[in-house]
Amino acid sequence: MANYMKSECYRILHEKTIYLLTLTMASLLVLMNVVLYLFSAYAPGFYYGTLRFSFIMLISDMEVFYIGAFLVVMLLSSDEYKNGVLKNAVAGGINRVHMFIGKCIVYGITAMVSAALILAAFISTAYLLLETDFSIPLESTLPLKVLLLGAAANVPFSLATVVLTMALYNIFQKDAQVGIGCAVIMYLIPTAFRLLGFQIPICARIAAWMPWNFVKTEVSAAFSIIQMDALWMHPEGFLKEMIAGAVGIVLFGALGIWGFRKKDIA
Amino acid sequence: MNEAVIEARDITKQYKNLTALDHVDITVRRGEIYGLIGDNGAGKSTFLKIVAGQIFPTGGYLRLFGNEDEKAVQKSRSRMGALVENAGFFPKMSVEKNLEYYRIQRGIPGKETVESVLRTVNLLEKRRVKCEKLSMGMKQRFGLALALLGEPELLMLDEPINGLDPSGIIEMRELLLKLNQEKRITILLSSHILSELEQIATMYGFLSRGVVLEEISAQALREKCAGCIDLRLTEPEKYAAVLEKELPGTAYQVLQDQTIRITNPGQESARYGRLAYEHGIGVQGLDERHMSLEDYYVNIKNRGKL
Repeated sequence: MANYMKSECYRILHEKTIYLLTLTMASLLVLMNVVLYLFSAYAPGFYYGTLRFSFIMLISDMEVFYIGAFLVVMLLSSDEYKNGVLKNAVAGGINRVHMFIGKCIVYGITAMVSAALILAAFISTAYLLLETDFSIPLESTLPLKVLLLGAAANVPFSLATVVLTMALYNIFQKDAQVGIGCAVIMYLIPTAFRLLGFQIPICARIAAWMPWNFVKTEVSAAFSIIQMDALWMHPEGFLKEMIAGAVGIVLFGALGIWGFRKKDIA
Repeated sequence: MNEAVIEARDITKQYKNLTALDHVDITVRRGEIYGLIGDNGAGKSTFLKIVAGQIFPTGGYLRLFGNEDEKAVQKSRSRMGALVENAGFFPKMSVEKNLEYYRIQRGIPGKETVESVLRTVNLLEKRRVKCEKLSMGMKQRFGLALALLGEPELLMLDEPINGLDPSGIIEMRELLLKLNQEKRITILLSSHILSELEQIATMYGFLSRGVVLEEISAQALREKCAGCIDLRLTEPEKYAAVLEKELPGTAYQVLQDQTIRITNPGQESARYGRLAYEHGIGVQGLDERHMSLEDYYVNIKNRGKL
């Protein structure tokens, strides 16, 4: 498995894909800061050119980390199925389970490194361009703390998204089917449970453990421009994110191994 | 007899309503060049994919290098190089980097290995070209280079001369013979270009519609296809007596139309004509008949249809 992981690292480092993806996503977030800066500089009465507002935009949309993790896997592995690369690895005697686990680890690390670089670009440009009142206690540090803790709390489920996307690639092998599968499992099912939860209490309890629901409802609901609070700022909330992520990794990992062990590779 | 490298027994592959392989028994022994012959859709690639571990049989078992346990079979695939259908590669990466990727993956020591296989398949000067820019023939060479990484004991090639130009075909043939004779690499290759297989194979397997019609060694096949000579004579009975006296052991058949067919000619055809002349027997016609691999294949395929 170590050799397989090394080869995947070699490929990722020698292809442009991950660099382009990281650059594109970082550019989008930096662009948001630039736009906020330009508006605050040239549009009188525009109050949103602040560090706090910029960070809130990201903090209230933490599911973007899951989407990012999905994109990393999609861009890195779709070529393998399209171009018949995977069959060479199998014909070379590599154990399928090791391949799956090795891929998940390498793609997971890649996604995290990419996210760290994107966040670094976003945070540094926010501090450089946007206003913050350093005289107010915690005004310049609290949003950063919430953002970084949020990113850390969402690492497990972002990794679970990596595992899920890999698992679906092993089952379906086609980008469109994998995309639909991810959307159903990550978004539609949690949304359905949340809506059903209004009528059926057990569905509400299950929905509350689904990451897409809790990063949307339990974060944005607790936000105001003055007060800043989020699920992961409390030990039990942080733990909930960790548990949900770990359960996701185990479940999707089992799905991936089951799907790949006896799968015919065209 | 050499040990079996591939031993497939009762292998069946079923796709919904299609039986791609139907209780197939194939044995490839160490040192052989095994030619798997069959039309498109006969099941050649399906069989190779099963051996390569890409697809799973619905029934039967596969023993590879003497291993039958599923995990051991998968592990023993590291002793094999395979090119099935098309060579898989990352199109945006160069030839060299693609091979380096596989070298690392298979734990093959020495960076020079990549250069060495590229030189072997005559692709060294294209090493920095992106794989997507390669012509079809070059992709085949790339696939062969990939299969040769790490000096495999078994080389499995599916239609390896597809897309090669005439000189490429000759190079490929010579390379395969060299690998087999000098490095003792066992080769299993499938093709429907029988004239090519005829020049290198030491064993044949004929596959039609998922069924193995026959496995036969090249030697046995040569004997079966050996030419026969038809002599149309004025006195066939007298010639038969002359044959028995002058060339004992000659197998012949007396056919209608005053023809004698010598089925195991041990002499040049002219010798049989001279023999008749020496004994005052008139020769009205002399035909040499040979069965090519193609004729043989058509014959057994037609037999299989009956």
